[in-house]
Amino acid sequence: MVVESVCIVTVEDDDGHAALIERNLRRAGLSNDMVRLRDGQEALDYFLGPRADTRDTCVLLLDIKMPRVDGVEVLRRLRADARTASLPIIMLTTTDDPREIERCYDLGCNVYITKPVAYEPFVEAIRRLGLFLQVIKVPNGTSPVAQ
Amino acid sequence: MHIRPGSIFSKGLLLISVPVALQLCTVAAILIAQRHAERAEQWSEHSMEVVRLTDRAIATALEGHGAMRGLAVFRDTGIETASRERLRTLPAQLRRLHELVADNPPQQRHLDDTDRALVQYLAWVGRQETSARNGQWDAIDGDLRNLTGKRLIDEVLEHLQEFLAVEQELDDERLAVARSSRAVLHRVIAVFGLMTLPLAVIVAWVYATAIGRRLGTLAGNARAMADGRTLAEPIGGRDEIADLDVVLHQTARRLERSLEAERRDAGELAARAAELARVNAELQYKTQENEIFVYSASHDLRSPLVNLQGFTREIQHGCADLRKELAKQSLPPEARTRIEGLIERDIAESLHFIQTAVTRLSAIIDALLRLSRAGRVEYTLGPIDIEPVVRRVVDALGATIQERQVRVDVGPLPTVCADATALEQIFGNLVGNAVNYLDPARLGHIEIGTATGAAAAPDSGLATVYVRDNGLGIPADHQQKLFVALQRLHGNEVPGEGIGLALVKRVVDRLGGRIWVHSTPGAGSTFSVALPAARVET
Repeated sequence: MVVESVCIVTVEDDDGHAALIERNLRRAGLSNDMVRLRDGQEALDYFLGPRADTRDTCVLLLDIKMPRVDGVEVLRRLRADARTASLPIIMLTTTDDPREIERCYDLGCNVYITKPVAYEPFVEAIRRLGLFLQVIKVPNGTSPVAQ
Repeated sequence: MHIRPGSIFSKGLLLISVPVALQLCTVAAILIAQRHAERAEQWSEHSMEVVRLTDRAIATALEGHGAMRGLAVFRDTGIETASRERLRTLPAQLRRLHELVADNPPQQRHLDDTDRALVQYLAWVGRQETSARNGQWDAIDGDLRNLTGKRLIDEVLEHLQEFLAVEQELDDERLAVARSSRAVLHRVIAVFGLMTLPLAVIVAWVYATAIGRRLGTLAGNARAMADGRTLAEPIGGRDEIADLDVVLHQTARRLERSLEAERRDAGELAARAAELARVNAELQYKTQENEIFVYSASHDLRSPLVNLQGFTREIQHGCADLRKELAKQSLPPEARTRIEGLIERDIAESLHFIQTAVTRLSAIIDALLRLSRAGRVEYTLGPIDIEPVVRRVVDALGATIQERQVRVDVGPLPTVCADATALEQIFGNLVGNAVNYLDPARLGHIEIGTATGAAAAPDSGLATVYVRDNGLGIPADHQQKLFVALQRLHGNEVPGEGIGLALVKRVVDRLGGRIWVHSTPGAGSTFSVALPAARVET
């Protein structure tokens, strides 16, 4: 049911958010590998740095407001690089400003999800994200598994 | 009529009077010369008459004397009686001559002499004729021979000839005078006629210098004033042109002063406008800064809230797991009851309060974000009919309205120049408030309509819409704070964040409108929104 080879990379400066995302994804039934990165710079190092190796089987959950390099800049740089141009990127952020959403879609994010404060919609968003990840086509040729 | 010396009118009179005087002189001279000539001619004719009469008298005398000689020669009193009789008319003829030359004493004297000689001659004639009638022919012959008659008549003739000579001389003189008078007349006409031409030239020249050139200077000054150049020196003089020039100079000076004042005012105005623009820009910047701050702050507050909410939920999950674990364990009943009590009551209650607080805080933050966005979002302004907007808003509140049995009346509403979403925000809040703050003690009635007269905004460019309810009303001391963010009059009996009216005010401000409220506690409130009226398309 779950594509085990897909690694879920969460770029999130807030430890609590990161923990909540992971727990709720697990609760929604995902057992994929999960990597936590603390800011945009770490994300750039992870995907574009000299020791970048696992990017082929990754899905990125990207926060926007982060120290050093923010999420929008990470999105822009990853889309500009041929190696990560088709990497699935999901913006997961507290900002629901329509202009910010539009900017992210313009820059090429696949999905934009607003972090809801109300718990139920948040879990629902994470659940849907989990389901989404299960059917997503990843670049290494692994065939997507429908539910 | 009063004629001012030196005025154009007096100058004109002067200019006209010169040729007129000249012409009058010409006419007078002609009249005088003519009269002179006429008189000379009259005198001449008079003299000719005298000469003619004198000639006739001489002829009468000669003819009469011839008849006297015939009488003597033929001794017959019957012949040439008519000629002799005519001798008797000589005194009358002389009297006529006397009358004609009454003004000439020397000629009178000649005539007097003639008269005396004639008296003697006629006395002789009388004697001769008496002798003839008596037949005394010898006496007549004798008298003829000794030439008495001839002597007498010669004397008469001699005097008459003298008289005639003088008169002829006079006649010649008078003819000469008449001729010379004519000549003078012709000369006068010629001279005055010739004088008219140079006079016209002189008059034209005088006009050119006295009026024309001054008028030219005046026109130049007027042009200079119109072009804002410096005026020529004052013309001087005492006529209307000088007056006009003085006025022109005064006007130019006043114009200069008012231009100066205008330049000063314009400079001041520009400085004020720049200051205003600067303050405005600063204010705009500050407002923007505030909104960005509110946006960032609200946003930053959301992150911890996500954690609070999320981990509360996690604890609830934990508690659920704990209960399951507890069920599996074998525990003394009182310990189980205590632990279950802790989980179900103390922890659950605490979590419930945390969740309520978080939900409330979240709502406030969302509202603040909306408020800050109301200041940042770009509006698309256009003519919008308010009525369908209000009907949509009322429809959206339909469930609550039906539930509370509220009567909602929507009157005819104007078309305003606004943004559709903004209008929906405004009336959504106002109608929503009206529904939310109704008095439970009576049936609700909400009325949305167009305000007129004193209830409307005084600015004619604004259309005023009111939202009136018969709800709880707002105490006077709270009405001031009504449009300030996070001010809530009512406690938790009505849900809300205290943002709605602040948002509405912000939106109305941005649309260039005004909002105000009239309210009586216990009776109801009327919110009035004035928005720029849509211009009627022509």
